Amino acid sequence: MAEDTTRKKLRRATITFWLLLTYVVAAYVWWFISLEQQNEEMRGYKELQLQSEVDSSISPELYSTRYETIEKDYRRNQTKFAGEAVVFLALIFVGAAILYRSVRRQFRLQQQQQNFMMAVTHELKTPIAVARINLETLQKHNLDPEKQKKLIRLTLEETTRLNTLTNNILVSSQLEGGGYHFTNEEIELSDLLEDVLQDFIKRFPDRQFILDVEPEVDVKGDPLLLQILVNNLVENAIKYSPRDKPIIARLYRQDGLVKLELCDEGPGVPDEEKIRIFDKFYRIGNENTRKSQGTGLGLYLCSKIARDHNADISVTNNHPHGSIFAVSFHQ
Amino acid sequence: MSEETKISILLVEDEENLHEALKLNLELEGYEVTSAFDGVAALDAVKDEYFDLIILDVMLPEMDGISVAETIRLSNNDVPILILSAKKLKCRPCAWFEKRR
Repeated sequence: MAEDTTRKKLRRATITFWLLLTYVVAAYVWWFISLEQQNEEMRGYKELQLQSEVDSSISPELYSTRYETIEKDYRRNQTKFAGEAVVFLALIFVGAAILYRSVRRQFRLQQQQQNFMMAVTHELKTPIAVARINLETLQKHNLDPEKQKKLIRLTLEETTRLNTLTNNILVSSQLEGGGYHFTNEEIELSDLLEDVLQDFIKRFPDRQFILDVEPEVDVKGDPLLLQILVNNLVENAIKYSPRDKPIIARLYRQDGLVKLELCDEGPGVPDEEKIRIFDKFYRIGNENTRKSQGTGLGLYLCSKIARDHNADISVTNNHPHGSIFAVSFHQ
Repeated sequence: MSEETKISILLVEDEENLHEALKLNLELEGYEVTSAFDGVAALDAVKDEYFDLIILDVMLPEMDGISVAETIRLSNNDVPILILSAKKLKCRPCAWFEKRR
């Protein structure tokens, strides 16, 4: 619904923009034609004045000199008006193009923010609802220990989800606002990756994780941010990968680079979306029918953290299907 | 509640943890719950079985909840539908249900 309103506003703004631009250009062309007419009238008036003041048969040289001056003035004015017209028109078009792009960008951002608000509302309310229902169930019913354990595990899962979401929101706002104190220390990425994966193995016991990690691979950076980066990439793989398919985490050195890869066997990312998925608030597909939940912050944050660590992030196709998210750290 | 009089509910929710929590609660209250995790599966279930109530999420994979509700109503099925949503619902579902009154 919000998307429709934004689209309508954008359409109205675009129509207004084109109407105004057409009016400005038309008024400008009219002004140029008027000036040109005035210039010609002025020439005619000066010629008449010359004819009344100087007799060409008596003083042909004086007449011709003054006539040339009139013609020169006329041509100079003509060139001046044409030059001004070209410069002003060019300025109008450049300004209009800048305005047009900036308005469109603003509307796109507004639409993405509305989508983000919708997504974040859903992402916040769902874990809270689950935790509440589970706690109320435990309070209301005398369940057997097995069921109790299960409900507690599910509630803990939801609180972890809330924690990840709030971390993502806080850290991205701090990174953007310059309020994050970045530490630059030697970190053993092999250990960090294994620790994060161990946590996921505990949280998702029915999932299959394969670790192919070269030991003692170090990078320089911020441990919390690198943990968020790995966490988000694994969360992303879990979100899109079918339950019975493995998620592979690789870490290795190659050609002076440290490469971290997360491979899933999900639906993959269409080629035209491969760059845009790292944009802030960007989500593939329609908000009501997409297969997985999210806010469009996770991968954006990954790309921001990668950039801050002098690393490149990319997504390629996995074979036979799925995606490989790769982060290459320059040493 | 005896087996014969058990009220049957179709629960359509794709969030697995929420689904499990709701299902457990409904079962503890004595209802018979059938699960569907997306819109298409929900429509298949409705075709095959009679339900006393459908609990339907709006944001679903394959087909959104409102389209599922519309399809059910268009097939002249008057089963009560309880819509679950974290979003404010206005316009499309409400306008559609107003029209059907």
